[in-house]
Amino acid sequence: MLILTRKPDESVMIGKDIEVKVLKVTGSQVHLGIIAPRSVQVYRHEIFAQVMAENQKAVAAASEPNAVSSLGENLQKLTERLRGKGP
Amino acid sequence: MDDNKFRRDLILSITPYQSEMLASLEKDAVYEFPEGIPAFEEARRFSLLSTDEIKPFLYLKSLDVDGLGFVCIDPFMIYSGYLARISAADMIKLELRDASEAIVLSFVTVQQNPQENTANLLAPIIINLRNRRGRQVILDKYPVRYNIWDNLDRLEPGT
Repeated sequence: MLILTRKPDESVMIGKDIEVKVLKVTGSQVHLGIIAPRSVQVYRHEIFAQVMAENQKAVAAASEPNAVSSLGENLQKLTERLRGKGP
Repeated sequence: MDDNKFRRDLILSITPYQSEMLASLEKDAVYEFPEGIPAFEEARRFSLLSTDEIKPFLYLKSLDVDGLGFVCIDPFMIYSGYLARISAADMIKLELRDASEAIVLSFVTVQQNPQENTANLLAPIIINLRNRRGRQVILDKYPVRYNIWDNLDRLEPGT
């Protein structure tokens, strides 16, 4: 891992398009400003990790042999209720 | 920071339109997820199955990885007033021009007990039906594990 020391108002460039700037340091909180092209997604790491973990859980349950028909049984009750509600 | 960013975001929230689109999906269509799905980046091509057995759920089946698939549900069906606010970055990647081109689906985490099944409302998949390109997006709110069963009582009465 590359480690750089920065002060408030200083920044780092990642490539030539992405700038990460330290705006303010308050106790244990660091405020970052990120300037990046529109096509670059910026996420808080824990949110992205949570989505990855949930995807793995969703697949684990759905990928058994005959997934679709065995799911049919599981989903049936829920389906009945959903259909009852109707869109 | 770019102040324009939020104004150019697109909101996908047209419920009746979406259910119509889901009902008329092309059976043999192949949907391309150029970046895969987070944690499954090798899975790029999918088909979307809707059988009578599992309706209104759908099954997003990988065409690249054997046995890989996700159960999906229309999030608008289980959460009144759900709003998928698509960022400019996601719109660019999907080449999305208008909300009417897209469908929104939530992955369902199936549990032993159907009453514990949850839907991922935080990170729905968006498919652009015009170019058949898909992507999982991360919204700025909504739970990653939303209990479908318990919350059905909170839906606006349709019965």
